[in-house]
Amino acid sequence: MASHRLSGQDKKDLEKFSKYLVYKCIQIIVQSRLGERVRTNSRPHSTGADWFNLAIKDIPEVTSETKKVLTSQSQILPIGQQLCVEISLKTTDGDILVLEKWLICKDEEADHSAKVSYTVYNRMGTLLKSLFCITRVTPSYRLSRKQGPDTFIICYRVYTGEPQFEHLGEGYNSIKVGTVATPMGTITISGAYRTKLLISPQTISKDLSNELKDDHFNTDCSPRRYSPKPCVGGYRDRRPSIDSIVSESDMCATTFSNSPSHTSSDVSTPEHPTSKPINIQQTPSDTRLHEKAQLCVPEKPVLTLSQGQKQGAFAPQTHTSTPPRDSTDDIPFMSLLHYSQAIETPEITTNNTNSNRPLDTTAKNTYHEKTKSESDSKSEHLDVDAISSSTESKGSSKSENKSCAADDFVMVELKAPFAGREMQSDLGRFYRDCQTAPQLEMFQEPPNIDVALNQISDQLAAFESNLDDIDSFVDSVISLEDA
Amino acid sequence: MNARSQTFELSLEGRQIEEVVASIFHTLLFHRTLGKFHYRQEGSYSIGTVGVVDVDCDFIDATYVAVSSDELDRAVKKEIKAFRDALRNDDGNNTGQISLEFFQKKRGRWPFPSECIPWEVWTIKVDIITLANEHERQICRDKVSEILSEKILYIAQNMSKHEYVPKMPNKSEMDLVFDTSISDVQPYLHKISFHTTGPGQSTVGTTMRRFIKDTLAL
Repeated sequence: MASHRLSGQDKKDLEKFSKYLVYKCIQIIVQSRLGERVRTNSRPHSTGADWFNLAIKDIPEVTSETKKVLTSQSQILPIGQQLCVEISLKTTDGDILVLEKWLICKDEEADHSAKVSYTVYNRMGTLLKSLFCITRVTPSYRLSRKQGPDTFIICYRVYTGEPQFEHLGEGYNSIKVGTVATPMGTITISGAYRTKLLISPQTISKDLSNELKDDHFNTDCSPRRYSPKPCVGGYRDRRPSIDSIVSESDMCATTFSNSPSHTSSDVSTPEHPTSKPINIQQTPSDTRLHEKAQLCVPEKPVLTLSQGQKQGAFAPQTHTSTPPRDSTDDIPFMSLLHYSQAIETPEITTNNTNSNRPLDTTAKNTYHEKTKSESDSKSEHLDVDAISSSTESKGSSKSENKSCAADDFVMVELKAPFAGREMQSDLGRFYRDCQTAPQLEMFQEPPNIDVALNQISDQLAAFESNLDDIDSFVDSVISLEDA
Repeated sequence: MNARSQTFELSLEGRQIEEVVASIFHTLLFHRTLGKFHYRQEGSYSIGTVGVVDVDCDFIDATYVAVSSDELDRAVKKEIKAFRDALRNDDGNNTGQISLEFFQKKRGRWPFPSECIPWEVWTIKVDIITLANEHERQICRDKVSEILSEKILYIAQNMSKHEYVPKMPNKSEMDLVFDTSISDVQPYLHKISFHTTGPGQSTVGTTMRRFIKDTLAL
């Protein structure tokens, strides 16, 4: 439609902008659910690595997840296709509640007048800013700030296909974040969030059946690929490698022109080397992984919901398959490494049914991962039933617990007065502080002997100088007694 | 040209003023701030990076996103503090309004100063309420947090509607559109102004007293 009016360079730029818009959107959404505050510094001089002039630190794991979903498509955002980021809550019991779904889609309505090089780019930046703000005002944000390995964790997954809002329960709310009109269609970001925080056994049993159906089609790959993703762990462990990631990613446009005579091609094209996929992870094994993933793409032209089953943030911490010795920070990343090494091929396309919850799949995934990472074997054809039974025998047995649960599980938000960010440690710290009261200041520094001696001699001198007064006082007392 | 104008009316406790106003203004400024421009040659420029910071509030259950710039934050907070002090310290003043106005300058002819043309004005009308007990305070806190979320959502949704914003200027006209005084980021030119009113001010006596006081102050 509109594309014929675009120059080749514009088209290429637009495709690239769209790609990074999608990547950054997903980063913003997932990072907003890490449970910690985001802070990046403004820089007067851009290095060219900050897309849309926004300082967003990419979490490699999230980028990698996004990439897995997107690499199977010829276009980043084909018209009519929806890219969904699902945020869910997972309790220590293994119950999962889908909290939010964020959608990125493109329709045919094009804005031919929009200049790709700056107008569209700038609008995308504004849209990302709006997304930043809106992700902080939905109820899930406050929940995510309260997450912890002892209570619940927030998980995410990225997939293409129908968003399936019914997972958000009755009375969910929809919000529109914004749109960007480009010469090749209008990109829209919207979201929907749950309003009732209730995990019911009915919902869970329904999802269980879907999981089984999924596994029937995906005995080899699907469970492994979509094992839970540790958001926070990945985020922390990612930090040291930020620079190298940036250096490997495509440079963005930081130079623009406000003169109409300039076309996009003479504005910043030198800063756009190619549109090759970003090399996110650093280790050779990961490189191998991505290569394999890409090689497998042609065999599976369409990704479906079940493929998009993502592992949730923190999930490994609550899985029985995770060694208990690990710290809360280490667990997720360790499992991530195992997971990364374990992946060999993307999973086979399955039916696009209602199964988009990382419920039991996650448990199986973790088991699967562990099996692979520990034994380093090539047992890719594990039987699903065997996995399920093993998982249950290991004690996670989520599905059993859930279906047996007599009452609904109600989330109770703890709002401790004056509680800080570390929700888990506040009470403990308070208790400890009470038990071990601080030492009085006067005992903290032992008195200096010289000073003490000086004080005593001063006192003696003072008494001596007042000897007459003291004598007269004693005399007066004696005389009074005599009288 | 008519400026876009939007007014929010909020009933708050005195201690919530600062955070509520800051959360709204910072959300606005976050959208209205670009990276620092560096002109290479006329018509071509590079843009710096805008950092992002999450700010938690103490007196409301809210976290807002602000531009990561201490200079900008200081400038905004200074005005908001003055507004808060005016509202909380003056006897009888229990309502007031504070506005964030985005404007562009138009160079005047020699004897006249440059003209400021507002293109977007956001006003928050604040009604200070006094609550009797902790229970009421908690209800108020929840309510204000909820309303604030709605306002931030409204702002964010409207910001991507691509309505009028001043055109990217040439180097020589930068100061007419952007506030270039901040070293790390570049917001559109803006100013914050406020005034407070109270029920007592309607009487002639108070007005006269204030009038005389103002005259003497001159």
